[in-house]
Amino acid sequence: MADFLEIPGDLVLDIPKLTITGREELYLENHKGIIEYSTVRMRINLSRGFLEVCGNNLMIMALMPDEMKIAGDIDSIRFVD
Amino acid sequence: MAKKLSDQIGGFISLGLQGENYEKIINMALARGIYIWDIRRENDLLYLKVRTSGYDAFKSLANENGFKLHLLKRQGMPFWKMVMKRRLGLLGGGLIFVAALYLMSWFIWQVQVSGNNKVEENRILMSAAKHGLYPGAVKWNFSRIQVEEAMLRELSELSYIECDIQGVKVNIKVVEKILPDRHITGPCHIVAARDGVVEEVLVLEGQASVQPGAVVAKGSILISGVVFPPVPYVQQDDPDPNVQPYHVRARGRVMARTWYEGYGECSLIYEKTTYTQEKRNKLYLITPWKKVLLLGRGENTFSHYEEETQEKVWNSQIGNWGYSRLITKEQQIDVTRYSEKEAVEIAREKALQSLKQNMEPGLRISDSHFAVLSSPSDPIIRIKVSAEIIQDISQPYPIDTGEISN
Repeated sequence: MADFLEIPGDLVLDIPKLTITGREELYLENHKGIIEYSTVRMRINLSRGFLEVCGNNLMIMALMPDEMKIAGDIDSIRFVD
Repeated sequence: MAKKLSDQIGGFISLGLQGENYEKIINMALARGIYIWDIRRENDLLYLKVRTSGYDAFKSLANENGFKLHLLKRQGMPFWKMVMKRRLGLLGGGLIFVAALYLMSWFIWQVQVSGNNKVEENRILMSAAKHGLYPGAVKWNFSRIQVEEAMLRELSELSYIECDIQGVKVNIKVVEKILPDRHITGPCHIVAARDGVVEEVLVLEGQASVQPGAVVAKGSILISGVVFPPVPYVQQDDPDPNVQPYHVRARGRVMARTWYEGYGECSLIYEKTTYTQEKRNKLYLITPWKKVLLLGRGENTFSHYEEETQEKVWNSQIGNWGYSRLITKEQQIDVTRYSEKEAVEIAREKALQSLKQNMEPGLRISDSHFAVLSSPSDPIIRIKVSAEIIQDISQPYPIDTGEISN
């Protein structure tokens, strides 16, 4: 239906949207809270499954109900069901 | 993040949190709408920042969940007052500066005039000052429109005035009236302004009274303002044609050859008195009984000199007291001897200068002639220069209405 109406999925279906700038910054929209936070690993709850971010010196630059910004030396980003 | 300015205005607090399961408190703050940022984990502590407005809520949340809260730093404008308390002088200075700037902006500091050509700037400025607009005037003590209107009434040569107030600067823009020739409004002749020989006559209105080649004296009618209409062909045989002359305002241009003269002279031996650097000062004390020399002994040895006396005297009951200063300046006489050729050249320059003073500005000399008036044995060379100029000699002259008698 969203395809048919040409509406972006992240607006209608609450699908996460990631914007990565280099290896240092990750901007995530439509998250559902934090499951785990340490300096090397971070798990973020999504509408379906969760997102695992691994790296070093990870920190949450900003945290808002729908969006968040993570900074640090990011090694991997993985979707886990 | 992008809310740095609003964070600074509202103020924010850096916190250190100690406890277990940090994710829980982050999620709870998120759920309760407490905005936290710069969340960083170091060793067993969680560092974060929270707005001053959300601090109490976050504190109670931390207490409820058994976290230990360390307040690390307060930042932002609400906390500057502590700094300001220590630097009262700086704050006071800043306030005084702003207040002084504001106070200064109440006054007019500079008044300029633009657009005037014939009307003197000083008159316009004086008129503006009379009605309250002058450097140093307080802005609300005068009304711009009232000043403009009053100035327009006073300066009848102006047709428009605008006082453009830009901050502390006022630019008075004026437009001058272009007045018609006020002297002659009715019918007039064109008469000769000076003696000459007519070269060219151009009549725009009226009837030409002279032809090229005519010798005219100052005041002669060149173009008549009294026009006799041409006699119709059919009436030429009629001894008494019923045609009346009528008046017009004669207009036209009459070019004529005119002459100007100038005179100059130069002595072959020229003496000029100049001062040397040498001078003597004598200072006298004036007492009621005697004038006592205080300073400057010695006789005057200058052959040529000029004396200057400066005196200051006070009257008292027993007589005058005071002092007198006598300055003697040495002079020398420089004698310059000119050869006859040089003297002629100098006299000629002087003659030309006097000629130009006699002439109206803007005229072009078409021909000039020099004549030496002095005889060869004279110690002074005298030169007369005469110049021939072709100029417009027309000048309007009003017609006396009684001139035409029927």
